[in-house]
Amino acid sequence: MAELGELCLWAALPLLVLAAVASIGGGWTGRGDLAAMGGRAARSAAAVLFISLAGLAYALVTVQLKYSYVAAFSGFQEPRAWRLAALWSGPAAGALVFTFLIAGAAALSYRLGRSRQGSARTGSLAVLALMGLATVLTRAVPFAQLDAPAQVGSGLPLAVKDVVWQVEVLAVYLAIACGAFSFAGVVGEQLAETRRGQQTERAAITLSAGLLTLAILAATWRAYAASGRLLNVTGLSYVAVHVPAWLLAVASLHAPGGRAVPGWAARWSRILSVAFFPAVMGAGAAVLVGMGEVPPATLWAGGFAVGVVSGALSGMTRRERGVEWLRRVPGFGAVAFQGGLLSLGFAGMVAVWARVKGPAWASITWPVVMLGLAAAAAWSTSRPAGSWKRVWPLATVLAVASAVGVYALSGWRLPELAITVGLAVAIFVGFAADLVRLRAARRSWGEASSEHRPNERAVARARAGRRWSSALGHLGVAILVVGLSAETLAEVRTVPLDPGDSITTRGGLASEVRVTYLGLSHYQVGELDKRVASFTLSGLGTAPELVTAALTYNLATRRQFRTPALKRGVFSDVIVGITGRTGSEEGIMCSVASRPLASLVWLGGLLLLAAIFARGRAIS
Amino acid sequence: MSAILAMVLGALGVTYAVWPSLRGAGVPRLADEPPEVVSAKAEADAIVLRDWSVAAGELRVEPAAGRPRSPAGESET
Repeated sequence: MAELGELCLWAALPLLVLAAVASIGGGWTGRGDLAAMGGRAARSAAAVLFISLAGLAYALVTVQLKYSYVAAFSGFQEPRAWRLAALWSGPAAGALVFTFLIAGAAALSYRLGRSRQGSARTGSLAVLALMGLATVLTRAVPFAQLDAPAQVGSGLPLAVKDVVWQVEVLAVYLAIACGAFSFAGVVGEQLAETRRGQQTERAAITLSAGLLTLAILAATWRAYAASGRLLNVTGLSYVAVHVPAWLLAVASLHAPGGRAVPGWAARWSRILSVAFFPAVMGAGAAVLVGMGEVPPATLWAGGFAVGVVSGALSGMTRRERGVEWLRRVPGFGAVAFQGGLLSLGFAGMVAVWARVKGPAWASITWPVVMLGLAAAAAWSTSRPAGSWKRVWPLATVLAVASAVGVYALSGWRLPELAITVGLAVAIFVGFAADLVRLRAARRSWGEASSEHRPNERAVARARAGRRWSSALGHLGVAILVVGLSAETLAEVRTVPLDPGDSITTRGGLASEVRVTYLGLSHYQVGELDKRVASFTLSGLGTAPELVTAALTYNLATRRQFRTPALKRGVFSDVIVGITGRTGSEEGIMCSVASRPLASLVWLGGLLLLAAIFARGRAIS
Repeated sequence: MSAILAMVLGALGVTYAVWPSLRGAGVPRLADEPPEVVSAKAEADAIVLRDWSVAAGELRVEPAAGRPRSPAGESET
């Protein structure tokens, strides 16, 4: 079965070549027979690649130790589920999964419609799958065999054997398939020199935005469990990998859609769709190479840079035919709007990079943010009508006033809290404005329905859907900001403890949690020197719970890791960690923290996810 | 054995792909709407959008002579 899987890779090669040549030829000439040949070849290629994937899965589950990938990522000591998870958890097999998913997207593209652009899109996807297959055959080589079979398999690394990491990586795989679809849609348009409604490409970008939001939530959850802090340097290093692609996808969702868009908006949307794919590919590669630890920044930053360059190149083609005279953006118009959004995105990137790579970058962030806000405000105030004309200035004034007020109340001591409160106020103003606009759209929808004007009804319905999603998104982000900023209210106490000692901390609104230290165990596995402290947590009316916190020293890299025990609660989380050892035999320095309102971060993230999917439903 | 099976699978895939052409089944040409139809539909949509924005009080239309040139931009981004 595994040999068949390996040989099926070679069988897929001519099928993908046929799919690429015939589909692009069909799209170019408009010949239906060529398009059908290409689409059917793409289907066959996807089926053959599936057999190949099944072959590798069989080798991993039955632990055939003659394959180097199996020896590195599977083993008899692992349960079957984790042996199977090795199919998508390592870089070599990951390349095969990418290739299969893109070939599957080509088959789906053929099924979705018989147009010239659709056929050229199928062909472009087949070319991408062909590039993936070439990588699998020459570089990744998941079926590479060892000279002599290994004695034991290593199994998956500990950091990867985590359901949350698995969710993150699977979300990224699907986002890559969606990104390839929208990228190929744009290339197909260019190849066939035609333009169709881009509903499917927009739906693909929406789905990827949702999937990447899920990946960011999973990465944040993991980082919180690993360090007990939300978005400190370690946390940001986990999350930053997804940020560029997420920003591009969300910016693409905010570009005007549908048929009646001006030329600049069509070009803007195309640039973002093209830039998204390399960015999300870079993120996927970084996550897989990182293997559950901090992903290498060069990979995801490189993917983003390639995305920006290719997006810019795709924007330099001939001018779009649009309906400028009907939906003209007044004043500074398109330049200010796109420039403002781009600067805000760039500022976000710089802020993340500054946290990960050092303070030299931090000074760039605020000027860029101000520039972006000024450009967006110039655009909104130069419009002759529309409620954003009033909302933007109002939100800015209220945000600045409340930030200065909070800063003054804190005795000019808490600038971070002041900025956070200002941000949250601005976002809440956006939420309130969305609710008002949603009401107007709903009323108009009702009127169009009662007066039987189907075209207007569809437009009003889509508009109401967009505003509903926008309101939900603003609310989600505001809640998220409040949850993140509650970190400043955390109470941390560091005390020396000997076995049997107890310490009490707040565990909720009125409840208290007693932490009792039981003892310290010492393990040495390979290069890792690990000390694990056991505690019981007992609260009011709940049974005592045993938890462990660890202090690990890697002798090879000379790095120390502190893994705290985390007890999640609705109002407050309790985090118990070891910060060091005292002089006595089992004595430790223990830090006990009560971190309020962390659950708001997850709630806000879920609302944001719901908002993105609600926006997807409103694609007109 | 595996090599033969893989070759058979590949051959089957190619046959499946070229079968409609071999059989000579008439596959219609790929139809795309002509550019003028696409433009007409886009303009119809834009008119609906503009009328909606005016009715909802989000857009102020100043009377202009000649061609129906809209003075104001979109209300949604």
